[in-house]
Amino acid sequence: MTTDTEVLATAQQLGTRALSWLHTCYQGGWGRLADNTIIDLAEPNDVYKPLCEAAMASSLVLRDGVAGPQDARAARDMLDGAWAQLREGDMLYERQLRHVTVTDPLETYAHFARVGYRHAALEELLESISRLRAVHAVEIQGSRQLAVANARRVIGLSHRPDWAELAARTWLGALPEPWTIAWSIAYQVTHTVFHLTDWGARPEDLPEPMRDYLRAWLPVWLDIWMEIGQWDLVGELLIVDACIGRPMLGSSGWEALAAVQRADGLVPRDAEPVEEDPESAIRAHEHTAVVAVVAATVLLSRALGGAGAAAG
Amino acid sequence: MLTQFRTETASASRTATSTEADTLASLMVEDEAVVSDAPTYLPEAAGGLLLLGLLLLSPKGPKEKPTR
Amino acid sequence: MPFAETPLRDEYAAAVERVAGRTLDALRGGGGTAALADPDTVVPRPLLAAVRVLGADLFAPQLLTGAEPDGPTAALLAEARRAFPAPVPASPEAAQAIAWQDWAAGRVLARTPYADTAPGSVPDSASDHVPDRVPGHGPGHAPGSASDRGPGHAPDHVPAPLPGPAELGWQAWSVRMAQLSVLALPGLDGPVHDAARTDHLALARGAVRAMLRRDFTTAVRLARWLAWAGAEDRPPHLEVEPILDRIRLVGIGAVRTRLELAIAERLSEGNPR
Repeated sequence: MTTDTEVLATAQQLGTRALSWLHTCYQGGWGRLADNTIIDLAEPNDVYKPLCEAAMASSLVLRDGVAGPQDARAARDMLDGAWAQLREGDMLYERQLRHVTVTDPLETYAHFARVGYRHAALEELLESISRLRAVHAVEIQGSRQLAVANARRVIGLSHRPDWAELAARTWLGALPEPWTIAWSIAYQVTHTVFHLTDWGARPEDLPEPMRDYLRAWLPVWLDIWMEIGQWDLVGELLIVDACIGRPMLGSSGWEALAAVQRADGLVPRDAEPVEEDPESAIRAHEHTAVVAVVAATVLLSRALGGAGAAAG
Repeated sequence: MLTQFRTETASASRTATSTEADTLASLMVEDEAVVSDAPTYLPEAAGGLLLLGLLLLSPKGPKEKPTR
Repeated sequence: MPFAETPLRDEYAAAVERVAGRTLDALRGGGGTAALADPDTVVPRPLLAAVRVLGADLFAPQLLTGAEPDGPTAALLAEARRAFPAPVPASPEAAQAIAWQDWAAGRVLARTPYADTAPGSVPDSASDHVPDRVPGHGPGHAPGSASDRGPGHAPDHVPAPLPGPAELGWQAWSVRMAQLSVLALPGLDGPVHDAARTDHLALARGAVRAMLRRDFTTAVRLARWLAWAGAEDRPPHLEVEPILDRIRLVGIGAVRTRLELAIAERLSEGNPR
């Protein structure tokens, strides 16, 4: 069963407009890291995190190769801009050098490395610290451990994780009572899938019981969060649907997001009124634009034969 | 047909009977809850997401708890 | 549909709670009769209305313990069906739900001397007359063949089956199945029961959805169907007991819902762990 062409068209529209909005935000000078701010990271979530998210979305757009030329240019533009802000990776290197056990330089770097932005010294450093027990013993939750494992895989580092064991140690891996899910647990579930499947490039890597479980309960989770307008989470559930094999959620989630997307491409994260101040609006809804771009990219990529699977 | 019970008869008024019927119907067939009370953002739970050095791909928490 | 509170509705609703409470006591007490009305007194209309609302569930204490439906309660229900013809609500969906609830009550009454010739169900032009199904589920089922009924009893109208989840969407279908939870009793069987067996994924999804929406009234009704169908061991392997535990713990106010919970718990006890 192929994904309905109408759904693909809706998704494509949603994604391209969200990407355009993101691009416009960054072109407009939003999200500039102050020099040397990230080594000790006074406020990691203010600029650094969104910068990395936008880089991630752009990276997947280029990886999957299903976007039109304008979108590809916008993605390349944002990656170039973010890489320049990170001083071609030097900032990540300096941060990782100083703080041995933090993982964000690794995770951020993976999105750049994926599409050709490389930093030799950083890779050597990452290889070196990956040999430390301490680095693998840092207390982080299951879905985050998968994020780190996938980042190493994408970069091509030599450390080999036990994927099955990591998957089993997530909430999703326990195949829990589906009616107990909470808002933040839902994000852990979606991220578990993202990293296990490398953002839809490896759908077969999802353990079969987890796939069956998701096929049973994704429609319910989609339904309840659509009902109360939790658009960001709806988008992430649509990404999951695209990552696990043949999508089965149908058109309603895509149509709902397309309906709330604004003329400028902003996708509101929830049913609350969008902030009037542009800076606040970008801050609040940037993540949802990233989600929309990734969702559309992965869905189209899978439907068109898994272009993303060609990537390493 | 065995009748053990003496029952109150309905009021002669048709209106009363149709009100009874409507009331009966509404008690026999109940709709689901009109308003959902599904889980939403929890500031306490999201606190862990903002720890230094942990990049978890989820939206920033809103400054105020969202109203419903 | 939202319904304005009126004095009459308050009165009837209160009566439903009282009757549900007596039935629940009987169920917990091991299956005795609820003694709802004194034969020598005038039976108030609200009580008859309440009996009409609960229908087949009045006999849950007996049916769940393998006993026969009790005579006095059957007489009272038969009287209630005479005193209150089946209401005809505005929506055809609600009418169909009432028809099925009345069918269930009629099937149980057919096992007593109080089987009525005028079940009061809304005749559905699309309904088939199907031969009585021999109930094959649960303890204490009685053969429901026509020969058990005396001469002069009209065959039950079997209402039209509900459209399935493929047609209605699993959400809407599950809500309609919740409205028919009274059918989930030992001794009853038919097309609605078949749907509960085959469409258990949709039932399970409906139950999870209701739980997440914190609509525990709907959730317990769907969990009751799942318990009746014994569907835990089939995909998607939704365990029913934890749901019932959770509903018990969050505390539901309405006695009627607590009765449904108790029935669901009894049905679940019969299932393999």
